[in-house]
Amino acid sequence: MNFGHLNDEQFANILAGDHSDLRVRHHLESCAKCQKELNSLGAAIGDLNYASLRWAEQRAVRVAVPSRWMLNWNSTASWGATLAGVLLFGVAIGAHMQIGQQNTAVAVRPAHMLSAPSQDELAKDNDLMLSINNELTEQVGGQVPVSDLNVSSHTVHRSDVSEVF
Amino acid sequence: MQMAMSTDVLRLTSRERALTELDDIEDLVQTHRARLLRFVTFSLGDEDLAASIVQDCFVKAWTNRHNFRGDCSVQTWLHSIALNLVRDYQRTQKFRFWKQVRKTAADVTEIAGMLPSAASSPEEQLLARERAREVATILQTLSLNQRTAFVLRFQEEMDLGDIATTMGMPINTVKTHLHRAVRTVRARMGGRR
Repeated sequence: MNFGHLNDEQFANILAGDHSDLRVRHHLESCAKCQKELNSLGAAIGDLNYASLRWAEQRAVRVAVPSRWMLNWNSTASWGATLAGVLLFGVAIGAHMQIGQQNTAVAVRPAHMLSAPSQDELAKDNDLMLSINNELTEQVGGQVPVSDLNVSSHTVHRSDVSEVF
Repeated sequence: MQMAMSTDVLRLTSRERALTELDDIEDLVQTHRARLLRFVTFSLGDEDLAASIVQDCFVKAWTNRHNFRGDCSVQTWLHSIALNLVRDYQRTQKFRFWKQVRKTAADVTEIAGMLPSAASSPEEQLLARERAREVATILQTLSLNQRTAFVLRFQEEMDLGDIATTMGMPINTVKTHLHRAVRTVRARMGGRR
């Protein structure tokens, strides 16, 4: 079976220490070119790792342990932001409810006014009702009811009397 | 079922252990600051900014330590917080300003100069420093994702699953970034045919 030089995936796996692919292992044993490249790149990465870690250990003293004040301030700040958010939400809800109540009050006012009319309105209503009553009384007096067409002598007599007066 | 329960118990125990580790901020900083500083410096190429981000990373980790689920190691969790901060800085105008100024850019020659000098001949030391400097310079030309995958794999020696957790990507995407990074490094180092 023909097996070419290592591809990027195989190279990356071998560099990371993964030697599980038997074909790759066999190829490396027989191919001086791939072996040389792997050794060269592996050494370069290894040197960089070593050098960069030493460099970072020297420079890491600049990263101080955060003070208790800073840590507490950070958690206080996050709590403060949450509290501010809740307060803003509460204010917004309050304002919304107030506007809703005003609208309800405007809508309710006429019904409220009808349930307790003023004295003038009561007097007007009474006058109106009285005039209607009078009209009805006059109409009833002017017309002859059907029942009166079969009148008895007694009724006629009473009618006559009333005419006298 | 018993196996699932024992896995849960193990996870709970590792989470409790990790929470204890996260509670002690001094120990946490002492243990992880050098590796985090190296990771962020390679990600951004700026030493001062990296120190500031690492500091922010510890504050953020300590403040949110109760959100740590124990699915990964503390080191992986810290690296993912640091990477998120790096991405945030890259998105902001602040980073563009820093990038323009570059007064405190990490010096790759200085980093390569940290190689030991006692064990080998002067020629070998020079060659080793030159090789390390070359790799560091090539890493600066990679995209952030390729560089992050490369650094986490070959410097932090994380497995692909941990790298995927840190970068918040599927393993196959991580593999793609890693292979592209290796291809570029091989080509620039003169090894690729």
